[in-house]
Amino acid sequence: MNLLKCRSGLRALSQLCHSSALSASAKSKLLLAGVPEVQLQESFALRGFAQLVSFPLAQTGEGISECELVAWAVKPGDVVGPFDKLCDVQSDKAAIEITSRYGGVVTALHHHVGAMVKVGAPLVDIEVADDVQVAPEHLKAAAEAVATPPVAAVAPAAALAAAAALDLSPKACGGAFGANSSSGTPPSTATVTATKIAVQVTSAPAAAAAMAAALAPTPPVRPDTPPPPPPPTEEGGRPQASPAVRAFAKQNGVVLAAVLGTGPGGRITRGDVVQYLEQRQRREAAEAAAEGEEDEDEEGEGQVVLQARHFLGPAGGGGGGGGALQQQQQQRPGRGRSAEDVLSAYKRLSAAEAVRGGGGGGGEGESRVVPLRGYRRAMVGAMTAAAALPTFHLHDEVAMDRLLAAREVMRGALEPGRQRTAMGGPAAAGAAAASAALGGGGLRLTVLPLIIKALSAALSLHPHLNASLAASGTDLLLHPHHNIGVAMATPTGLVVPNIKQVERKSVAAVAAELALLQQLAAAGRLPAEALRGGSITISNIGTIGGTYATPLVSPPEVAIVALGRMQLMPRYPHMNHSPTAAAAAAAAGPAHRGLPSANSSFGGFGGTGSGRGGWNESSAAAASAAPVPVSVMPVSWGADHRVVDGAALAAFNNCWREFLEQPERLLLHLA
Amino acid sequence: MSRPVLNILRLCRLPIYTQLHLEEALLRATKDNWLIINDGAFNPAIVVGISGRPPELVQCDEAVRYGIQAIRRFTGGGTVVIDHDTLFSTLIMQGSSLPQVDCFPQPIMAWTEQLYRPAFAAAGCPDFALRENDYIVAGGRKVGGNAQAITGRRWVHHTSFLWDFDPERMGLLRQPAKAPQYRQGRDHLDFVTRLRDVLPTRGARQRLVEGIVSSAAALGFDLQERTLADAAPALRHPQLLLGTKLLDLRTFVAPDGDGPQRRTT
Repeated sequence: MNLLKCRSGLRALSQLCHSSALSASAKSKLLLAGVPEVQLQESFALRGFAQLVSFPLAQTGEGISECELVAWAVKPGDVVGPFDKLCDVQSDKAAIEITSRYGGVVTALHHHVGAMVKVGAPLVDIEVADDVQVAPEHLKAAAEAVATPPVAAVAPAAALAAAAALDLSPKACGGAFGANSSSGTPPSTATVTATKIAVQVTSAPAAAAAMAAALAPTPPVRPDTPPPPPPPTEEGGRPQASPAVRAFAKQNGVVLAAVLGTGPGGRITRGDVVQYLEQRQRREAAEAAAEGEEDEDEEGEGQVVLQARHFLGPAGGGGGGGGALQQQQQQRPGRGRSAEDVLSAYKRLSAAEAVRGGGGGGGEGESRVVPLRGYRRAMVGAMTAAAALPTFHLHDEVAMDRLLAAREVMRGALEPGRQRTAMGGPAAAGAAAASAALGGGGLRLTVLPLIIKALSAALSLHPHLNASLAASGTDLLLHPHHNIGVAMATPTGLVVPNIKQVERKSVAAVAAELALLQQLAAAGRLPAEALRGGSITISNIGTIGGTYATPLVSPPEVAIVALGRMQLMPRYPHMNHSPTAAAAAAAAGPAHRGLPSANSSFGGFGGTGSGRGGWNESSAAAASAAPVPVSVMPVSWGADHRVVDGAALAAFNNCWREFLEQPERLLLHLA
Repeated sequence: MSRPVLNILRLCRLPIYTQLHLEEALLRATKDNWLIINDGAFNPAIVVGISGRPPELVQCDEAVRYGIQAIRRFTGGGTVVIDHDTLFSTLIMQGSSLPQVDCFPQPIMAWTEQLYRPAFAAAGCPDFALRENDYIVAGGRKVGGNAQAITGRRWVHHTSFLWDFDPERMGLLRQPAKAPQYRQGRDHLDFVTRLRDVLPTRGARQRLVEGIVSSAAALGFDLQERTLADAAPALRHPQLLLGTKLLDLRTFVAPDGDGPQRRTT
């Protein structure tokens, strides 16, 4: 805060003090009210302190009409902030802590310990700043007028400026003169103030003189001011502060004994340390910076508006520099600064940032501790184990158009309202059973159950991927059942419940069980047996995002596949070498374009067996074809290389991909 | 829709003073949820509520002659005399973990009924219920003493279930001035009941403890079993405004040895 900026205000105050237009008690309240860091940090439009709040005992639950007051946590004169503890009350079996809704100064307690307080009856009187929102029912009926009208405009502004100025002094003197500066008598405080100010404002002796002159008359009119709370000490002489505040002070090299505490019981709050830091920073800046003109930028007559930015020293500016003008003047000689200047500017920047970070009243700037519990904690252990085995990866893409088309057909059969009444007999019964299994309808069949069933079909042909390495390390255990795990992200972490014996289940049954597991996982109620006994895992990370991944195999399984996000991509259609096949492919509907024809073998340019044509012909044919849109799903395999080799995994992947790209093949596996 | 974590601490024969200290520390110094079950205290003690005035609640001179420990706890409620046959169950909860429960005495107590009723049913007592801030079983007999402390959005609700009690020690207490309506003027021994009479089958005490834990799981918590070592660091936290205190009943005894006017319990 710029003391010099308040010079005009202080001049006004000195005149007022002589005229004693302000009541003594009002001044004392103003001065006290300047103390809380909460108010100082906020931007102030000074209108003075005019609200007296009678804070009532709030409703503590239905049926409770009164409570016994067990203990007070505040006394008159204490400064409270919002949510600070006021007292403990007891209602029957409950001891309840009552906290304040408002920040301000406690002026009166309405009950003694042991009294029965009716719910809604006033508990304490708190004086709050005028700009604090107060519920009308809390305003005390006969509000003590703090400022009489004639002096309304000037006096409160000036008075608060003075309050702020004088507030500054105990802290400043706290810094310079140690913990026992305020022995309790106002005059000594004021005296110290004047001295301190003289020391601080080296570059404006005129202002200092005016200030000292302005301050001098004030002590006589504050005879009844309760002394500012002395820096608190415990029996060991240690200032009282919470561990967080201690750490913050230590971080910034602040000795707690030098800081004046304004918290309840004189405790040192974080804001007090921040205040101390500000002053120290300003002191250092004032000493280091070049002389700047003290521009008295008075904003409006008789109204000095103190903004937060006045308190938080700008990075390059001088101590307490008010407003941009001073800043500019400081920086005018800024070009061609020496390294020392740059260094001290950086130091000020860091200090300002520390102050600003604290002044925001927000986070500490320390890392937040989030305990790992439940699935997250389990993941730490599981992934450590997974990292121990040699994993290799294989990536591929699957054209999903035909599978999506097949799904639409199945949906037509399963979902109510789309069920054709013409279906009768076992088909209808089966479909009804399946839709009942899917939660009575309304559950959309996604493509995942189809992928899972296709995986199972592929595992039947490649059983070595549904296996585990025996503990001996020399045997492979081929599991009879395909317990396919599906990775699910829940708010509490990653879980992989598995669907048991997929080889025996229909797609509808798989879909139903998957839906149940998803609901249980979301609710956090997965039973242990759902998490045990998996033999292979699918991770549909694509629903969240991403294309290719490098999933980690979870032992004792040997393979895992991650499905990336399905996207429409342009792909050149696989051309059969025979022109007729090409024509057929071209003539086929969009759903069939771009897919390997039924005759093609695995991947790439796999030959059709037709010897006709050769490389050149097919590429020529391909060159004339246009790319077509294909729903491409990227897949990423991970496998345990102790057990699975690349060829085996590639063969398995091809087999599975064929089932996905030509779902009719699954008909061959209907058991 | 994340499941809140409930830390389970199973204890046996922990001294009640230590337990209360620990509970207060966990309430004030942590933000975790705890279910603490202490199957029997180590030594007999009289425990008065935070605002209890011992001369009104305890036969102080007799208690001094008996040599029983007296403690003031940090929660409200009345006076209990406890020993190795008292089963303690404590819930320390962050309000945000139970968004449907307001941080007020009655809603909290109503919620705890949902915890204890299945537990009692599992142990063999189907008619556990809440009435006027007490847990009762058949015939309107009280089975446990309850107390709470609520600070901001965090609360503790602890219960002492009398599996059995010593009538001589029970006689050290005075009748409290306020009696619940459902007591209907009954004598104390007709008003409270021993749990061992309510759950007479063998192993019921252990089943009750297990039942409380299972009930907590069923209420949607993610249970984490903890040990005293996990909980104890809370005690090292400084500046715990401690309500848990040892009481010296001798300070309440008149110098000539005669206690204040006695009322028959």
